[in-house]
Amino acid sequence: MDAIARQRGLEVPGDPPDVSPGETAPLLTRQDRVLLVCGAAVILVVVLGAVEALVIGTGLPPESARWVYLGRGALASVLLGLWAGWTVMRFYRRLERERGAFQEQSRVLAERARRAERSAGLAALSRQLAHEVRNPLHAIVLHLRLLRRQIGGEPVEACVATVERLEEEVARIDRLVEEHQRHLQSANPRVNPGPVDLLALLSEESARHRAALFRTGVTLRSELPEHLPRLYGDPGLLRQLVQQLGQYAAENVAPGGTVRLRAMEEDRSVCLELGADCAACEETRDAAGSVLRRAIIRDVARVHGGEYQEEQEAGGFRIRVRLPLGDAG
Amino acid sequence: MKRILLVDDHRTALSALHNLLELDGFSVVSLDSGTAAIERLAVEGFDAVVTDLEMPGANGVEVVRAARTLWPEALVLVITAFPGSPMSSRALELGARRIISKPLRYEVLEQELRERLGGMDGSVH
Repeated sequence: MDAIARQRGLEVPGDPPDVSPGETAPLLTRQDRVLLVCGAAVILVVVLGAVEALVIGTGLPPESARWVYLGRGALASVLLGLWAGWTVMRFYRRLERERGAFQEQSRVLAERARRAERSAGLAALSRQLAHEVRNPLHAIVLHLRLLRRQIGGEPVEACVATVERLEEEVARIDRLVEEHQRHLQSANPRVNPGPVDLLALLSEESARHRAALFRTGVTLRSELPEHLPRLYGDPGLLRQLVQQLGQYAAENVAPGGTVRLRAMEEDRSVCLELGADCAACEETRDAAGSVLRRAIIRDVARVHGGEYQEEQEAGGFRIRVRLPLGDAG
Repeated sequence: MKRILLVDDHRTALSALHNLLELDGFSVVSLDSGTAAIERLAVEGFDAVVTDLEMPGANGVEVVRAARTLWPEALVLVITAFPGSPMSSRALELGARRIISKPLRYEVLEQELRERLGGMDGSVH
Protein backbone atom coordinates (compact mmCIF):
# COMPACT_ATOMS: atom_id res chain seq x y z
CA MET A 1 0.00 0.00 0.00
CA ASP A 2 3.02 2.29 0.42
CA ALA A 3 3.40 2.38 -3.35
CA ILE A 4 -0.27 3.30 -3.75
CA ALA A 5 0.07 6.02 -1.16
CA ARG A 6 3.13 7.45 -2.94
CA GLN A 7 1.35 7.34 -6.29
CA ARG A 8 -1.48 9.31 -4.74
CA GLY A 9 1.00 11.89 -3.44
CA LEU A 10 0.44 10.92 0.20
CA GLU A 11 3.18 10.92 2.80
CA VAL A 12 4.48 7.47 3.71
CA PRO A 13 5.90 7.11 7.24
CA GLY A 14 9.63 6.35 7.20
CA ASP A 15 10.28 8.03 3.87
CA PRO A 16 13.12 10.61 3.81
CA PRO A 17 12.10 14.30 3.59
CA ASP A 18 11.33 15.56 0.10
CA VAL A 19 14.52 17.40 -1.04
CA SER A 20 15.04 18.12 -4.72
CA PRO A 21 18.42 16.93 -6.05
CA GLY A 22 20.93 19.68 -6.80
CA GLU A 23 19.26 22.19 -4.49
CA THR A 24 21.75 23.61 -1.95
CA ALA A 25 21.17 25.70 1.16
CA PRO A 26 21.91 29.48 0.72
CA LEU A 27 25.01 30.92 2.40
CA LEU A 28 22.99 33.52 4.28
CA THR A 29 19.42 33.04 5.39
CA ARG A 30 16.87 35.81 5.00
CA GLN A 31 17.15 36.47 8.72
CA ASP A 32 20.94 36.85 8.46
CA ARG A 33 20.53 39.31 5.63
CA VAL A 34 18.02 41.41 7.59
CA LEU A 35 20.37 41.46 10.57
CA LEU A 36 23.26 42.57 8.35
CA VAL A 37 21.21 45.42 6.84
CA CYS A 38 20.05 46.54 10.29
CA GLY A 39 23.61 46.48 11.59
CA ALA A 40 24.85 48.52 8.63
CA ALA A 41 22.03 51.03 9.16
CA VAL A 42 22.88 51.46 12.83
CA ILE A 43 26.52 52.08 11.94
CA LEU A 44 25.42 54.61 9.34
CA VAL A 45 23.21 56.43 11.87
CA VAL A 46 26.11 56.61 14.29
CA VAL A 47 28.42 57.89 11.52
CA LEU A 48 25.84 60.53 10.54
CA GLY A 49 25.55 61.59 14.18
CA ALA A 50 29.31 62.08 14.22
CA VAL A 51 29.13 64.09 10.97
CA GLU A 52 26.36 66.25 12.47
CA ALA A 53 28.49 66.91 15.54
CA LEU A 54 31.38 67.78 13.23
CA VAL A 55 29.17 70.16 11.20
CA ILE A 56 27.92 71.94 14.34
CA GLY A 57 31.39 72.01 15.81
CA THR A 58 33.07 73.46 12.68
CA GLY A 59 30.29 76.05 12.00
CA LEU A 60 29.39 74.97 8.45
CA PRO A 61 26.29 76.61 6.80
CA PRO A 62 22.85 75.51 8.24
CA GLU A 63 21.82 73.98 4.81
CA SER A 64 24.50 71.34 5.25
CA ALA A 65 23.19 70.50 8.72
CA ARG A 66 19.59 70.20 7.32
CA TRP A 67 20.67 67.57 4.78
CA VAL A 68 22.40 65.67 7.55
CA TYR A 69 19.20 65.81 9.66
CA LEU A 70 17.04 64.64 6.75
CA GLY A 71 19.41 61.80 5.90
CA ARG A 72 19.55 60.65 9.47
CA GLY A 73 15.74 60.81 9.83
CA ALA A 74 15.20 58.81 6.63
CA LEU A 75 17.72 56.24 7.71
CA ALA A 76 16.11 55.96 11.14
CA SER A 77 12.69 55.40 9.47
CA VAL A 78 14.13 52.68 7.23
CA LEU A 79 15.80 51.14 10.27
CA LEU A 80 12.53 51.20 12.21
CA GLY A 81 10.68 49.65 9.27
CA LEU A 82 13.28 46.92 8.93
CA TRP A 83 13.15 46.21 12.64
CA ALA A 84 9.34 45.98 12.54
CA GLY A 85 9.46 43.72 9.48
CA TRP A 86 12.10 41.53 11.04
CA THR A 87 10.03 41.22 14.23
CA VAL A 88 6.89 40.31 12.30
CA MET A 89 8.84 37.81 10.22
CA ARG A 90 10.35 36.27 13.34
CA PHE A 91 6.89 35.98 14.88
CA TYR A 92 5.52 34.43 11.69
CA ARG A 93 8.38 31.91 11.59
CA ARG A 94 7.72 30.98 15.18
CA LEU A 95 4.05 30.41 14.38
CA GLU A 96 5.07 28.27 11.42
CA ARG A 97 7.37 26.20 13.64
CA GLU A 98 4.62 25.76 16.22
CA ARG A 99 2.13 24.81 13.55
CA GLY A 100 4.58 22.18 12.24
CA ALA A 101 5.12 20.85 15.77
CA PHE A 102 1.38 20.76 16.34
CA GLN A 103 0.83 18.87 13.09
CA GLU A 104 3.53 16.38 14.02
CA GLN A 105 2.01 15.97 17.47
CA SER A 106 -1.42 15.44 15.91
CA ARG A 107 0.03 12.81 13.58
CA VAL A 108 1.72 11.01 16.49
CA LEU A 109 -1.48 11.12 18.55
CA ALA A 110 -3.54 9.85 15.64
CA GLU A 111 -1.08 7.00 15.16
CA ARG A 112 -1.25 6.19 18.89
CA ALA A 113 -5.04 6.26 18.77
CA ARG A 114 -5.00 3.92 15.77
CA ARG A 115 -2.66 1.52 17.59
CA ALA A 116 -4.74 1.69 20.77
CA GLU A 117 -7.87 0.96 18.77
CA ARG A 118 -6.12 -1.96 17.09
CA SER A 119 -4.86 -3.30 20.46
CA ALA A 120 -8.34 -3.02 21.92
CA GLY A 121 -9.72 -4.86 18.90
CA LEU A 122 -7.12 -7.61 19.25
CA ALA A 123 -7.81 -7.91 22.99
CA ALA A 124 -11.53 -8.28 22.33
CA LEU A 125 -10.79 -10.77 19.58
CA SER A 126 -8.46 -12.81 21.82
CA ARG A 127 -11.12 -12.88 24.51
CA GLN A 128 -13.66 -14.08 21.99
CA LEU A 129 -11.23 -16.73 20.76
CA ALA A 130 -10.58 -17.93 24.31
CA HIS A 131 -14.32 -18.26 24.81
CA GLU A 132 -14.78 -20.08 21.54
CA VAL A 133 -11.93 -22.49 22.28
CA ARG A 134 -12.96 -23.20 25.86
CA ASN A 135 -16.49 -24.18 24.84
CA PRO A 136 -15.42 -27.14 22.67
CA LEU A 137 -12.76 -28.04 25.24
CA HIS A 138 -15.49 -28.06 27.86
CA ALA A 139 -17.56 -30.38 25.67
CA ILE A 140 -14.56 -32.64 24.99
CA VAL A 141 -13.76 -32.99 28.67
CA LEU A 142 -17.36 -33.86 29.49
CA HIS A 143 -17.64 -36.38 26.65
CA LEU A 144 -14.36 -38.00 27.69
CA ARG A 145 -15.79 -38.36 31.15
CA LEU A 146 -18.95 -39.84 29.67
CA LEU A 147 -16.92 -42.16 27.46
CA ARG A 148 -15.06 -43.44 30.47
CA ARG A 149 -18.40 -44.38 32.02
CA GLN A 150 -19.78 -45.85 28.79
CA ILE A 151 -16.80 -48.09 28.18
CA GLY A 152 -17.82 -49.96 31.31
CA GLY A 153 -21.27 -51.09 30.18
CA GLU A 154 -22.72 -49.12 27.27
CA PRO A 155 -23.06 -50.69 23.80
CA VAL A 156 -20.31 -50.00 21.28
CA GLU A 157 -22.57 -47.72 19.23
CA ALA A 158 -22.90 -45.28 22.12
CA CYS A 159 -19.12 -45.18 22.53
CA VAL A 160 -18.67 -44.58 18.78
CA ALA A 161 -21.19 -41.70 18.87
CA THR A 162 -19.30 -40.11 21.74
CA VAL A 163 -16.00 -40.45 19.90
CA GLU A 164 -17.55 -38.83 16.81
CA ARG A 165 -18.63 -35.87 18.90
CA LEU A 166 -15.14 -35.59 20.27
CA GLU A 167 -13.74 -35.57 16.74
CA GLU A 168 -16.18 -32.82 15.74
CA GLU A 169 -15.14 -30.67 18.66
CA VAL A 170 -11.45 -31.15 17.93
CA ALA A 171 -12.09 -30.16 14.30
CA ARG A 172 -13.90 -27.09 15.56
CA ILE A 173 -10.90 -26.02 17.63
CA ASP A 174 -8.64 -26.67 14.66
CA ARG A 175 -10.78 -24.42 12.45
CA LEU A 176 -10.72 -21.69 15.08
CA VAL A 177 -6.96 -21.78 15.39
CA GLU A 178 -6.58 -21.76 11.61
CA GLU A 179 -8.87 -18.77 11.28
CA HIS A 180 -7.03 -17.00 14.06
CA GLN A 181 -3.69 -17.54 12.32
CA ARG A 182 -5.16 -16.33 9.05
CA HIS A 183 -6.46 -13.27 10.79
CA LEU A 184 -3.09 -12.50 12.38
CA GLN A 185 -1.52 -12.73 8.93
CA SER A 186 -4.08 -10.39 7.44
CA ALA A 187 -3.77 -7.98 10.38
CA ASN A 188 -0.31 -7.02 9.11
CA PRO A 189 -0.38 -8.37 5.59
CA ARG A 190 2.36 -8.12 3.03
CA VAL A 191 0.63 -6.30 0.26
CA ASN A 192 1.65 -6.93 -3.33
CA PRO A 193 -0.58 -4.56 -5.24
CA GLY A 194 -1.46 -4.84 -8.88
CA PRO A 195 -4.46 -4.48 -11.17
CA VAL A 196 -7.25 -6.84 -10.14
CA ASP A 197 -10.24 -7.87 -12.23
CA LEU A 198 -12.68 -7.95 -9.33
CA LEU A 199 -15.63 -8.87 -11.54
CA ALA A 200 -13.89 -12.05 -12.74
CA LEU A 201 -12.85 -12.86 -9.18
CA LEU A 202 -16.40 -12.36 -7.88
CA SER A 203 -17.90 -14.46 -10.69
CA GLU A 204 -15.47 -17.29 -10.03
CA GLU A 205 -15.89 -17.31 -6.26
CA SER A 206 -19.66 -16.87 -6.30
CA ALA A 207 -19.99 -19.88 -8.64
CA ARG A 208 -17.94 -21.93 -6.20
CA HIS A 209 -19.85 -20.75 -3.13
CA ARG A 210 -23.24 -21.07 -4.87
CA ALA A 211 -22.69 -24.81 -5.20
CA ALA A 212 -21.46 -25.16 -1.61
CA LEU A 213 -24.36 -23.13 -0.22
CA PHE A 214 -26.89 -25.03 -2.33
CA ARG A 215 -25.79 -28.25 -0.65
CA THR A 216 -26.73 -26.73 2.72
CA GLY A 217 -30.12 -25.51 1.51
CA VAL A 218 -29.10 -21.86 1.09
CA THR A 219 -29.67 -19.92 -2.14
CA LEU A 220 -27.01 -17.50 -3.36
CA ARG A 221 -28.15 -14.70 -5.67
CA SER A 222 -25.27 -12.74 -7.13
CA GLU A 223 -26.17 -9.39 -8.66
CA LEU A 224 -23.03 -8.44 -10.54
CA PRO A 225 -22.81 -5.65 -13.15
CA GLU A 226 -21.68 -6.32 -16.72
CA HIS A 227 -18.63 -4.18 -16.20
CA LEU A 228 -16.55 -3.21 -13.20
CA PRO A 229 -13.34 -1.16 -13.45
CA ARG A 230 -10.13 -2.84 -12.40
CA LEU A 231 -9.00 -2.27 -8.84
CA TYR A 232 -5.44 -1.53 -7.80
CA GLY A 233 -4.96 -3.93 -4.90
CA ASP A 234 -3.55 -7.24 -3.75
CA PRO A 235 -5.17 -10.07 -5.76
CA GLY A 236 -4.53 -12.68 -3.04
CA LEU A 237 -5.95 -10.57 -0.24
CA LEU A 238 -8.97 -9.53 -2.29
CA ARG A 239 -9.69 -13.17 -3.12
CA GLN A 240 -9.39 -13.94 0.59
CA LEU A 241 -11.89 -11.17 1.33
CA VAL A 242 -14.43 -12.61 -1.12
CA GLN A 243 -13.86 -16.15 0.19
CA GLN A 244 -14.40 -14.99 3.76
CA LEU A 245 -17.67 -13.36 2.73
CA GLY A 246 -18.78 -16.68 1.24
CA GLN A 247 -17.69 -18.66 4.29
CA TYR A 248 -19.44 -16.19 6.56
CA ALA A 249 -22.67 -16.69 4.60
CA ALA A 250 -22.28 -20.48 4.74
CA GLU A 251 -21.85 -20.42 8.51
CA ASN A 252 -24.50 -17.89 9.42
CA VAL A 253 -27.44 -18.58 7.16
CA ALA A 254 -29.69 -21.47 8.11
CA PRO A 255 -31.23 -23.79 5.49
CA GLY A 256 -34.03 -22.05 3.60
CA GLY A 257 -32.28 -18.69 3.70
CA THR A 258 -31.20 -16.53 0.78
CA VAL A 259 -27.88 -14.75 0.40
CA ARG A 260 -27.41 -11.80 -1.95
CA LEU A 261 -24.01 -10.77 -3.21
CA ARG A 262 -24.00 -7.41 -4.97
CA ALA A 263 -21.21 -5.35 -6.51
CA MET A 264 -21.43 -1.83 -7.91
CA GLU A 265 -19.21 1.07 -8.84
CA GLU A 266 -19.71 4.14 -6.68
CA ASP A 267 -17.65 7.33 -6.69
CA ARG A 268 -14.24 5.92 -7.75
CA SER A 269 -14.85 2.86 -5.56
CA VAL A 270 -16.29 -0.61 -5.83
CA CYS A 271 -18.87 -1.59 -3.22
CA LEU A 272 -19.45 -5.20 -2.29
CA GLU A 273 -22.55 -6.06 -0.33
CA LEU A 274 -23.39 -9.37 1.26
CA GLY A 275 -26.90 -9.58 2.66
CA ALA A 276 -28.91 -12.45 4.07
CA ASP A 277 -32.64 -12.73 4.13
CA CYS A 278 -33.50 -15.30 6.77
CA ALA A 279 -37.20 -14.56 7.12
CA ALA A 280 -37.84 -18.23 6.41
CA CYS A 281 -35.16 -19.43 8.80
CA GLU A 282 -35.72 -20.27 12.42
CA GLU A 283 -32.71 -18.25 13.48
CA THR A 284 -29.55 -16.71 12.17
CA ARG A 285 -26.65 -18.52 13.71
CA ASP A 286 -23.62 -16.70 14.99
CA ALA A 287 -21.23 -19.51 14.30
CA ALA A 288 -17.83 -19.96 15.90
CA GLY A 289 -15.21 -18.22 13.82
CA SER A 290 -17.59 -15.57 12.49
CA VAL A 291 -15.91 -12.92 14.61
CA LEU A 292 -12.59 -13.83 13.03
CA ARG A 293 -14.06 -13.80 9.53
CA ARG A 294 -15.48 -10.33 10.03
CA ALA A 295 -12.12 -9.17 11.40
CA ILE A 296 -10.30 -10.53 8.33
CA ILE A 297 -12.73 -8.82 5.94
CA ARG A 298 -12.39 -5.56 7.87
CA ASP A 299 -8.58 -5.72 7.85
CA VAL A 300 -8.31 -6.49 4.13
CA ALA A 301 -10.64 -3.56 3.40
CA ARG A 302 -8.56 -1.34 5.70
CA VAL A 303 -5.20 -2.08 4.06
CA HIS A 304 -6.77 -1.21 0.70
CA GLY A 305 -7.88 2.16 2.06
CA GLY A 306 -11.49 0.99 2.09
CA GLU A 307 -14.33 0.86 4.58
CA TYR A 308 -16.27 -1.90 6.29
CA GLN A 309 -19.81 -1.76 7.66
CA GLU A 310 -22.01 -4.43 9.14
CA GLU A 311 -25.58 -4.53 10.34
CA GLN A 312 -27.07 -7.38 12.31
CA GLU A 313 -30.81 -7.55 12.46
CA ALA A 314 -33.45 -10.07 13.37
CA GLY A 315 -33.39 -12.79 10.75
CA GLY A 316 -30.52 -11.44 8.74
CA PHE A 317 -27.41 -9.36 8.35
CA ARG A 318 -25.74 -7.04 5.87
CA ILE A 319 -22.01 -6.58 5.30
CA ARG A 320 -20.84 -3.75 3.05
CA VAL A 321 -17.25 -3.27 1.91
CA ARG A 322 -16.10 -0.23 -0.08
CA LEU A 323 -12.80 -0.53 -1.94
CA PRO A 324 -11.26 2.50 -3.69
CA LEU A 325 -10.22 1.89 -7.29
CA GLY A 326 -6.69 3.22 -6.88
CA ASP A 327 -4.78 3.96 -10.08
CA ALA A 328 -5.80 0.85 -11.99
CA GLY A 329 -9.33 2.01 -12.65
CA MET B 1 -34.41 -37.73 43.23
CA LYS B 2 -32.94 -34.22 43.19
CA ARG B 3 -33.97 -32.14 40.19
CA ILE B 4 -31.47 -30.04 38.32
CA LEU B 5 -32.02 -27.43 35.64
CA LEU B 6 -29.08 -27.33 33.27
CA VAL B 7 -28.65 -24.29 30.95
CA ASP B 8 -26.00 -23.95 28.24
CA ASP B 9 -26.21 -22.74 24.63
CA HIS B 10 -23.45 -25.16 23.64
CA ARG B 11 -25.60 -28.22 22.94
CA THR B 12 -22.78 -30.76 22.72
CA ALA B 13 -21.55 -29.89 26.20
CA LEU B 14 -25.12 -29.72 27.45
CA SER B 15 -25.93 -33.25 26.32
CA ALA B 16 -22.75 -34.69 27.84
CA LEU B 17 -23.32 -33.02 31.19
CA HIS B 18 -26.98 -34.07 31.10
CA ASN B 19 -25.97 -37.72 30.63
CA LEU B 20 -23.30 -37.59 33.33
CA LEU B 21 -25.64 -36.10 35.92
CA GLU B 22 -28.35 -38.63 35.07
CA LEU B 23 -25.82 -41.45 35.46
CA ASP B 24 -25.10 -40.03 38.91
CA GLY B 25 -28.76 -40.24 39.87
CA PHE B 26 -30.01 -36.71 39.30
CA SER B 27 -33.17 -35.83 37.43
CA VAL B 28 -32.05 -33.35 34.81
CA VAL B 29 -33.88 -30.86 32.60
CA SER B 30 -31.61 -29.36 29.91
CA LEU B 31 -32.34 -26.11 28.10
CA ASP B 32 -30.14 -24.41 25.51
CA SER B 33 -31.13 -20.80 26.14
CA GLY B 34 -31.45 -18.45 29.07
CA THR B 35 -34.83 -17.27 27.88
CA ALA B 36 -36.24 -20.79 27.90
CA ALA B 37 -34.75 -21.40 31.35
CA ILE B 38 -36.39 -18.27 32.81
CA GLU B 39 -39.73 -19.29 31.30
CA ARG B 40 -39.35 -22.77 32.82
CA LEU B 41 -38.37 -21.36 36.23
CA ALA B 42 -41.52 -19.27 36.21
CA VAL B 43 -43.63 -22.41 36.32
CA GLU B 44 -41.42 -25.03 37.92
CA GLY B 45 -38.91 -25.22 40.75
CA PHE B 46 -35.63 -27.14 40.86
CA ASP B 47 -33.28 -28.17 43.64
CA ALA B 48 -30.34 -26.78 41.69
CA VAL B 49 -29.78 -24.59 38.67
CA VAL B 50 -26.50 -25.00 36.78
CA THR B 51 -26.09 -22.34 34.12
CA ASP B 52 -23.59 -21.06 31.60
CA LEU B 53 -23.00 -17.30 31.69
CA GLU B 54 -22.40 -16.08 28.14
CA MET B 55 -25.43 -16.96 26.06
CA PRO B 56 -27.31 -15.14 23.33
CA GLY B 57 -30.59 -13.60 24.47
CA ALA B 58 -31.06 -13.83 28.22
CA ASN B 59 -27.62 -14.54 29.69
CA GLY B 60 -26.62 -16.53 32.76
CA VAL B 61 -26.86 -13.52 35.08
CA GLU B 62 -30.54 -13.19 34.22
CA VAL B 63 -31.03 -16.91 34.84
CA VAL B 64 -29.35 -16.56 38.26
CA ARG B 65 -31.56 -13.57 39.09
CA ALA B 66 -34.73 -15.43 38.07
CA ALA B 67 -33.73 -18.57 40.00
CA ARG B 68 -32.87 -16.66 43.18
CA THR B 69 -35.98 -14.52 42.98
CA LEU B 70 -38.47 -17.27 42.19
CA TRP B 71 -36.86 -20.14 44.12
CA PRO B 72 -34.61 -18.70 46.87
CA GLU B 73 -33.84 -22.12 48.32
CA ALA B 74 -32.47 -23.45 45.05
CA LEU B 75 -28.73 -24.00 44.74
CA VAL B 76 -27.39 -21.91 41.85
CA LEU B 77 -24.06 -22.77 40.24
CA VAL B 78 -22.46 -20.97 37.32
CA ILE B 79 -20.13 -22.47 34.72
CA THR B 80 -18.13 -19.99 32.66
CA ALA B 81 -15.02 -19.62 30.52
CA PHE B 82 -14.22 -16.36 32.35
CA PRO B 83 -14.50 -16.87 36.12
CA GLY B 84 -13.04 -13.44 36.92
CA SER B 85 -15.27 -11.44 34.59
CA PRO B 86 -17.70 -8.72 35.74
CA MET B 87 -20.56 -11.02 34.75
CA SER B 88 -19.25 -13.68 37.15
CA SER B 89 -19.04 -11.11 39.96
CA ARG B 90 -22.58 -10.00 39.22
CA ALA B 91 -23.79 -13.61 39.34
CA LEU B 92 -22.19 -14.04 42.78
CA GLU B 93 -23.77 -10.78 43.98
CA LEU B 94 -27.16 -12.07 42.88
CA GLY B 95 -26.74 -15.23 44.92
CA ALA B 96 -24.91 -17.80 42.80
CA ARG B 97 -23.26 -20.26 45.21
CA ARG B 98 -20.14 -20.83 43.17
CA ILE B 99 -18.46 -19.98 39.86
CA ILE B 100 -16.93 -23.03 38.19
CA SER B 101 -14.53 -22.50 35.29
CA LYS B 102 -14.61 -24.15 31.86
CA PRO B 103 -13.39 -26.68 30.86
CA LEU B 104 -15.31 -28.26 33.72
CA ARG B 105 -13.79 -30.80 36.05
CA TYR B 106 -16.85 -32.92 36.60
CA GLU B 107 -15.76 -34.01 40.09
CA VAL B 108 -15.96 -30.39 41.24
CA LEU B 109 -19.56 -30.04 40.10
CA GLU B 110 -20.57 -33.47 41.39
CA GLN B 111 -19.03 -32.81 44.82
CA GLU B 112 -20.68 -29.41 45.06
CA LEU B 113 -24.08 -30.86 44.20
CA ARG B 114 -23.74 -33.76 46.64
CA GLU B 115 -22.55 -31.52 49.47
CA ARG B 116 -25.22 -28.87 49.01
CA LEU B 117 -28.14 -31.07 48.05
CA GLY B 118 -27.40 -33.91 50.42
CA GLY B 119 -28.88 -37.33 49.58
CA MET B 120 -30.49 -38.25 46.33
CA ASP B 121 -33.87 -38.97 47.89
CA GLY B 122 -36.78 -36.61 47.74
CA SER B 123 -37.07 -33.18 46.26
CA VAL B 124 -37.07 -29.80 47.96
CA HIS B 125 -39.87 -28.51 45.79
